Amino acid sequence: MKGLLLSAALLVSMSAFAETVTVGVNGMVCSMCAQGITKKLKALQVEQLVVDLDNKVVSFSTPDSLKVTDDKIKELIKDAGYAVTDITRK
Amino acid sequence: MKWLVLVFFPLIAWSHPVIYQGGTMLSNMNMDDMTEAGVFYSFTHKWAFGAEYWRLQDDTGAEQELQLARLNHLAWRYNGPASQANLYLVSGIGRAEDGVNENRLGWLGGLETDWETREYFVSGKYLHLASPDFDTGLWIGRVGYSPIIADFNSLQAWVMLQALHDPVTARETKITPLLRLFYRNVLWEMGSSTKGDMFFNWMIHI
Repeated sequence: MKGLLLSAALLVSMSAFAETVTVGVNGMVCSMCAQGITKKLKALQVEQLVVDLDNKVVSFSTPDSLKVTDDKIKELIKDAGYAVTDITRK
Repeated sequence: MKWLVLVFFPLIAWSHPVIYQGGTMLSNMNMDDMTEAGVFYSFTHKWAFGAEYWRLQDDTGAEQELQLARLNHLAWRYNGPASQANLYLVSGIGRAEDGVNENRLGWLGGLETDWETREYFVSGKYLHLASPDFDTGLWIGRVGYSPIIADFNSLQAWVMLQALHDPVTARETKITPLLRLFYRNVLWEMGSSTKGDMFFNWMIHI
């Protein structure tokens, strides 16, 4: 029963997030300055936001109800002071 | 005139004078002879305006107070895969009083440039400042090294060496080793010059 509930919860979780977006960002060398990126993206109410300075990427998940275009991502990263190199979606 | 020089010394303790769009920066510096408090708002990622309050004390113990309006501009930025470089133009105008003379006009203009990776930091600044009875320029440079490259949400530590030269008043170049720490959106800097002058600075991005 416990396993069934766990599986159900996992399925619900998977279906709640339609997409994982990974954004390559140039210029992220100062973590304090890059806090602006998280502030901008959190305003969109994305989930599981991670800034990876080693790999120079920002990743996040979007729920089914949220459509975030590439242009919107580029605009927000630019407003934070950085440059997008590429965007991949899974 | 010492107070006018001191007014701009704290600028060397700051990092970028313009932050992300919609971001507000609070800063405060305390030294034996000086207090600074400022608030700056970046209305785009290239422009910020703000206000500052200063209390300054010269060699005789006389105090100066200043209220300045500031406008900062990111004129150029390079965002590379592993580095960032910037050029800023800064300006300001305000009111000064020294207990005898009130409502004096003062202004500043200058440029700041920096290049940094996660491990190395170099910056240089020239600030020209003037009032009806004063005119000078300051050269300021910094080099820094971060011995441990920390993750995004970890405590960051830098050791830095700072040099300040003011040719007009023929002051000797002041060398100050300092420690910079920051965690998420809060920064602290602590240092002591080779002459024993202490300073402490903090800054918050909100």
